[in-house]
Amino acid sequence: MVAAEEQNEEKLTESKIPVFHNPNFKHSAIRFSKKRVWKNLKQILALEKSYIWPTDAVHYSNIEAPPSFTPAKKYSDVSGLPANYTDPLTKLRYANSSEFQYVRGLSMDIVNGLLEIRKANSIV
Amino acid sequence: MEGITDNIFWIKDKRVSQDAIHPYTEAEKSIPIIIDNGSYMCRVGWATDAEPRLVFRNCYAKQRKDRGKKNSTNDSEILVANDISNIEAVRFQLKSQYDENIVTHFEAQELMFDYIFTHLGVNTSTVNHPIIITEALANPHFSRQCMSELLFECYGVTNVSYCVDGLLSFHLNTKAEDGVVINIGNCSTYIMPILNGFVVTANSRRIRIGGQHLVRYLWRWLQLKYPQHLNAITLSRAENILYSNMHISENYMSELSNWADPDYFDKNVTKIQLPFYAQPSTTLSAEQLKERKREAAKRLADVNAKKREERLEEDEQELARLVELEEAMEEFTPDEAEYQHALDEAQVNTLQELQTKTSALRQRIEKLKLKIQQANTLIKDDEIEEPKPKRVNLSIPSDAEEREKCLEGIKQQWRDIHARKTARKNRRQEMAKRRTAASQERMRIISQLAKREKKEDNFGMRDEDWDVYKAINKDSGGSDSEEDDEKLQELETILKHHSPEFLGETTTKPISIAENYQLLLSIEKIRIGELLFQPSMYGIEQGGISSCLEYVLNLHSEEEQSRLVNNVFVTGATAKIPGLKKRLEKDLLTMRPFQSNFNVYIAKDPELDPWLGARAFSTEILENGMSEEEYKSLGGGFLKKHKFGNEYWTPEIPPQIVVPEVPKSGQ
Repeated sequence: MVAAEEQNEEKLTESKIPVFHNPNFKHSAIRFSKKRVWKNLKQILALEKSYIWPTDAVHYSNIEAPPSFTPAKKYSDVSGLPANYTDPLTKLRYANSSEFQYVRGLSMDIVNGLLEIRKANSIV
Repeated sequence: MEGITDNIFWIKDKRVSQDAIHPYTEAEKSIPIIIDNGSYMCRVGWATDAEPRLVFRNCYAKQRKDRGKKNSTNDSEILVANDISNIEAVRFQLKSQYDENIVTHFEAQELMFDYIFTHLGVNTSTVNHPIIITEALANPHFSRQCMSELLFECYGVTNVSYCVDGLLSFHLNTKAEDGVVINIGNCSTYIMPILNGFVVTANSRRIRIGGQHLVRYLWRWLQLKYPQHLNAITLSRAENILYSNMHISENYMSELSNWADPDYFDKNVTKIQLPFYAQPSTTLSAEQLKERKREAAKRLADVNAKKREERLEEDEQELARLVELEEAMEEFTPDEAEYQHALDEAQVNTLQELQTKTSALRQRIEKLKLKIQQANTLIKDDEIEEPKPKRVNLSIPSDAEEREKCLEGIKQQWRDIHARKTARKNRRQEMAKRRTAASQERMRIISQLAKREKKEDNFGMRDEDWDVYKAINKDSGGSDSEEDDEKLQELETILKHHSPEFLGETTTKPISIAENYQLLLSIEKIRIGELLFQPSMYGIEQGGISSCLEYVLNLHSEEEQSRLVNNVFVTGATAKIPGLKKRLEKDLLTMRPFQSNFNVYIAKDPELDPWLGARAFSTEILENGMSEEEYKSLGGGFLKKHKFGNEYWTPEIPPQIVVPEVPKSGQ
């Protein structure tokens, strides 16, 4: 039963293969791995590092931009205006008293969402 | 209807139509195929085409067919690129061959190539064409190797050339040999210095912010700002809003302070109109509703009356029959067969039973008649009677001065209750949190209660004992808040009637349904574009375009710097956002020496220029391509040096990583 199904499936995929496509082609990168998993970018970069390169070679990981040299400006999480204050309870930034009231009225998931978009939510 | 009218932007969802399968003609044989393989969009065409034939999202969606059915095997339907008509419907199934801007999943890439060559109409056993394909700057050797392997061994292409999209765009737009390319892509932004026509990879930098981040930021932000429209705000709509309503501010801080001014806000705010469906019931007036109600009641009454009449008729007929039988029976004695027959007919055993039956029937008929009469008069009454107002409100004196005083009193009452309600709400919130004074007090009382000596338990003897529960109740005073609610509503109805402007301060009611479905864009209009210059707003620690540009310039000598800034060239689809040029000019002015020269150019067509560049320089690119023999002898990662591509360094790959050659079967 299972074998028949497998056959069926094979036929199905075969019929889909376009004429110009070599039906026997197998990717060398996953030809021998049982799980047939592709390396992600991080793994590829690690693999590249294990090669021996000429001294002047430049890699993908080498051209990462440096961190900012100036301190990040702080903006209100609810309006985008420059913010001078941070609510100690929700950790949201706000610009004025009316924004503070609004911040305190927000539900937890909105607060978390607002922190998340500037990656300031610490998962504890 | 898309466009801005009256500061309102009407969103219209774009639907993609399926790509046609183009005919494969003799003229196209051995013509190079140009593929601008971007991480967001892919553009494909013959080198002889004026424009790419196929433009599609570089993604596919795997959907399981007839899910839930018993006989379903694990076959699934794969929708590739423009087969997906509505991307939002398959958002969660969406996959791509990319990890950031590097192709990592080559089975997915295979799927995309199948799509490409099928739609170009290729119908020979191999793809007998040279391929020009774009890749990222400093694309890992491994990734290029897999790509070459796929193209040569799976499709049998004759020649492969790799180019970097930003470099193609640069050379197409400018004849200069020096400059800096700022390529704002989908995943990342590249700053690439070019000297003597060639990119200096060592001094190039990549910032991890691109169009995709801008769209995601806007999307999440709007969702959080308008949680009621969570599902209506989709990524595609956010993208639509981004490219039609946003600009990059020349001076972000000063423009921000403008927005703090309410007048400026009112004048410059853009309203995004989400699609909505008007509910038909809301168009009816109160009068019409009343009319409808009345009609329904009348119809019901009519049905009932008809039913009653029918029943009356039935009963009367039955009565007549029984009376007839009774009369007939009087003529016979109980012994005769006819007498028994009559009893059977009436479904009774004795004459007495028959008599009680007839009398009961008579009573029922009387009752029915009475009911019909009552119903008829009731309908008439209904028509005259107007429904009474629910509650007789406080009478408002007609005298203006008195009236003012009275209203002021009501307003004061309203304010009091409102304040009480908010105070209660706050208390509840405080109670819910730990370490607030209120909850600590509560805990203190509870622990005191628990500590109390148990020798003589007389709790509850005095009524005051029970007050302790009020003190420790989490939402204290829940019962009287209901009363307040009622009173508040009552006051609000009065106020709404007599001084509607008072409530306007606190509860703003939207005027139309359309306004309920509007998103207001204010600071967002400049904030999203600003992400490119301040990635910290997105939680990215890297510096923005300007600061990174300054860093890259500082890696060069002063003489080189002036050559570079003479030709600052911006490309990539995100460069379409207006205001970018001015902002860069302003930032360059501050970072360059006083009275020095610099020039900023934006690509003529930031989206299409890489493809057009590959087409324009196709002969030069193909001369530096890789043939099948070279692929076999030098490996798939190999590159020849040319102006439009990456630099190449030969790696020495440790033997254990080399995949052993397996004899090919069937070829």
